Amino acid sequence: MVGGLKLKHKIYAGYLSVGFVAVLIALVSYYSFGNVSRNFRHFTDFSVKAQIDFQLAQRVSEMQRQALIFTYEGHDSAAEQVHYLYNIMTELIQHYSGEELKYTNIINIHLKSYMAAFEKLQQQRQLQHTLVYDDLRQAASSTESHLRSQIKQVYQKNGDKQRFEIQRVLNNLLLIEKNAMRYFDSLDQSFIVKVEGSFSEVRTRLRELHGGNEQQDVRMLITDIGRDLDKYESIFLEAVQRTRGYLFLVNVVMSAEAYEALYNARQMSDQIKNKMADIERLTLSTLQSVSYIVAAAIVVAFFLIVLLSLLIGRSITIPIVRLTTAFNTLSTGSHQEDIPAYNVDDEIGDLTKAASIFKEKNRQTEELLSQAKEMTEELASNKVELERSNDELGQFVYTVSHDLKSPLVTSMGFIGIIQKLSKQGRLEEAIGKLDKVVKSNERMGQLINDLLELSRVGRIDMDKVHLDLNELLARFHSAHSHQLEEAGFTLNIDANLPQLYANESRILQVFENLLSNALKYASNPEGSIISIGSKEQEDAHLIWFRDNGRGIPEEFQKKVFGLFYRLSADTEGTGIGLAVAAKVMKFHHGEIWVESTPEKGATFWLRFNKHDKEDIHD
Amino acid sequence: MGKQNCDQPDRREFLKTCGCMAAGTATALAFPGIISARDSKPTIRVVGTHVTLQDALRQKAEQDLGINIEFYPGGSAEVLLKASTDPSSFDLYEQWSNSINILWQANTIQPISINKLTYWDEINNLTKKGRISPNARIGLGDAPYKLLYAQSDGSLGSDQSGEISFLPYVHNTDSFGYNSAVIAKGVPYETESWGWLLDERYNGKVALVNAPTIGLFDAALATKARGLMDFKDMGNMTREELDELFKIMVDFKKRGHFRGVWSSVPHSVELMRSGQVTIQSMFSPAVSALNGMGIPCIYAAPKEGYRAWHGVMCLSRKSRGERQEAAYAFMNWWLSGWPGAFIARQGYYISNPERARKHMSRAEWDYWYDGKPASEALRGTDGKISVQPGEVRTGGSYTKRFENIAVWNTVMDTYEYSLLKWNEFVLT
Repeated sequence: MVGGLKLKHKIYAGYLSVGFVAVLIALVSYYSFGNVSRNFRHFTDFSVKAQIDFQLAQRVSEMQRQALIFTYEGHDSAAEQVHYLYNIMTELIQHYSGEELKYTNIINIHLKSYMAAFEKLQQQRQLQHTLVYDDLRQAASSTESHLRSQIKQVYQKNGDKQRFEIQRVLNNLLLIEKNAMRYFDSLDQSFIVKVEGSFSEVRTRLRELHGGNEQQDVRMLITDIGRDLDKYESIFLEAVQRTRGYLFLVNVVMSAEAYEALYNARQMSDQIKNKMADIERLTLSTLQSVSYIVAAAIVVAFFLIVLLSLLIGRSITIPIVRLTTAFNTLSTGSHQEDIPAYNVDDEIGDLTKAASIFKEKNRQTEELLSQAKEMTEELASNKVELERSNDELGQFVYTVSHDLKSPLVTSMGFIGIIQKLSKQGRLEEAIGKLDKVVKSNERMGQLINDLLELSRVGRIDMDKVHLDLNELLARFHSAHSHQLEEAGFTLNIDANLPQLYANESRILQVFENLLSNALKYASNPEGSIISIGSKEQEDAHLIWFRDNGRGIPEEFQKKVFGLFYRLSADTEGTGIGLAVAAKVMKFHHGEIWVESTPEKGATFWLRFNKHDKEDIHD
Repeated sequence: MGKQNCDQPDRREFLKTCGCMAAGTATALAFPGIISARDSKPTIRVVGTHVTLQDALRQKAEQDLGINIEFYPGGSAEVLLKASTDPSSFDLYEQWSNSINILWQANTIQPISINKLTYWDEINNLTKKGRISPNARIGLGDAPYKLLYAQSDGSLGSDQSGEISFLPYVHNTDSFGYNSAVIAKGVPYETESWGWLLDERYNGKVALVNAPTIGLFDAALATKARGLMDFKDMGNMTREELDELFKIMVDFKKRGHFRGVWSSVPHSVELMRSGQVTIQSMFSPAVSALNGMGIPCIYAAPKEGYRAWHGVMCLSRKSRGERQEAAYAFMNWWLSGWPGAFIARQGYYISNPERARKHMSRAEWDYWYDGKPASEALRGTDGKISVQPGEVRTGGSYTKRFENIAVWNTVMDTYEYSLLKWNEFVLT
């Protein structure tokens, strides 16, 4: 997860992750406290609303109570109180908003209906009051006044019987008023019946009085009383209906409107309480949830810190431990230790690069050591070789001096002889001996030439090229065909000879020396045959040069490549040819050796390394 | 609210005084919605409720009679107060038979001469004799026939005379409605009972109509059905009986049994639609409205019998001359058949149904009067389909319904006292 990050970035990431969790916890806490705070405000709002709601319900009840007081007692203060309470409630309702509006709108409608009914009640009650306490009494008084007036006239003009009847009518009139008032006090319909009965009674008696009275003025007075009575009854009946009207308003219409207002206030109250309970539950739930979240976040943070510490620590320590191991190994000079892969460009990456460099330096050091060792070994080898060369040189000097000394001694011997013969005068005989001196000098000259040639090998004319051996030997065969024919030799050259990277003249010199050697020592009475062929090895080309001569005894097979060594003193030659061949092969980092079985010819092997290219030139 | 309800002519508006009630003296009263057309033709003023004061009827009557008609629709209490205190403010008054006693007592209406009623002979025995059939129950309270005839002593009675206090015309039976999605459907006349209104299982979901002359009887029928009390005469309860009845009702109310009272048909619809109520006193238009909303409200046929009401048309004491003649013409028009068929499509019955039958299809008659399944979709007075094929009117036929009358809406002698008790019940 963090493997691809730089070291400082890992540390930053660790701190940032922990910081992020800390900020997250802080945010959750902030959010939860915000929620709690908001819920608290809502709770407070709802508490206020609940209080208002309680006041609303109280005032509705009080309003109806005051309305009933006004209805039954007629107190204007009660009516004023109803209006006052209505205005307060209208104002209270303004405090509601949101979902409560549904209820407050309904409550408002019912309160308005209530007040509309109450205003009508006031009108009806005022009208009823006027009818009962003014009109009714006035009608009663008027009727009674007319009756008393009639009594007075009748009392003056008629007998006691009529006066008694009129008095009874008067009593009934008093009963009407009494029962009417009792109805309005008790609201008992039986009094209406009694009132109606009394009216009927009065009318009956008045009809009787009217019918039995012949006096015009009395009859007119009775008619007037009848009109008064009709008006009186009409006022009473209207007052009854007005009473029923406002009773209906206050007991049925207004009470229902008040109840609906109360009911909706209660519903609203329940809703508010439910909301408060919801908020309480929500708050507790939020606090609980936040507690859980914070606790969980702390645990997560803890595990995150541990995890990140492990991851970051491991991502740092593991490469460092690996690098330490690598450095420890590298410190021993090894370059075999694998440097742990680390592809991040950070401090550990730098260490890894340093380790790689360290490893490379180790490798170079080891290589240098190896080269130094090789050089030391080569130096030692060279030293041995040098010593051997010195020995050889000593040998060479000894041999050269010995072999050069031989013709010189011979020549000096013959010169002494010639001198003696000359002194003896034996000039002819002395002259005869001069040939011997010449020959000895010629041989010495030949020896010196061959030695010069030997010394040139490796120094002069040694450029190497790619040679087609087939072509080279074809020319070689052609060039020596006459010599071979004279010597009675047959030269067979195999086809498909390899190509060599070598100095053409020196290789040709080798084959000429081998051919010269064969012509001297390998004649076979049954037919001398020389064959040249090749054999491939994994890392070398082997060229063989084979004759069918007498062969070379095993004890001479190495010596033949020595300087001035000849198998027979009878044969011509300086004994340097094979030494030259050996030196040429050495120059080509190759070898030359001979395998031979006496009387079965000899095979000279030339070994050329396949990888001997230009670099071998050194 | 009241004003709003006043604008719904096809709903039976009851007891709405708040918004519609005119105030002040009788002469100062002014109705908000005068439906009138003034010209040289005679003009009659009709005061009443929205049940019968429908503009379609007014227009048809004006067209048929060649007179001007002014309708003054209002709440029951409002129009009753008007009619009982100011006879000069109307020529005809259309309301319920339970208001006759008040009006007669208030002396604001005059007797109607039977001789001037063209279709008097066609009016059935329900109004004339109290029974729609020989086996029918008369029903407690002020059965219309008891108040029909003007007696020689000035009172009202059942003894036939040449004059009547009101023209019998529109009438119906009422009961309670219940939501069958909540309350298991009962069997009409067998298990359905007024006692359901006091069933504890429906606690908090019960409402009564806000009218002592109506809802009081629903409460009385319920208490009696549950065996909680009995009445010497339920149609005319004594103060002691009222005390006992309201003690029971208040006790139920204190225990939260009642949601409350409703003051208008729309209010009753809303109570059941919103689920606040599952059973309550109801009027048939409310039941139809709820069914139209997809609420399975059943209008019960209580085994104890219905609470019945009878529409009455009264002639103002002050109606004289040309206006009186026009008023008679209007009364006769109401019984001429077409109006009876018109209000039959709203679920109401007419006192001479056979004449109305001529203006109804066979399917309509079968459904509305005979209690048979509708053989086709039936349209209401608004032209919309109000009855689906196969539907059967609850309570059965017209005859069966009116054979089962428990009580008539009545203004009892203890009316004023009942108002006080009603207030106690409502506000408990």
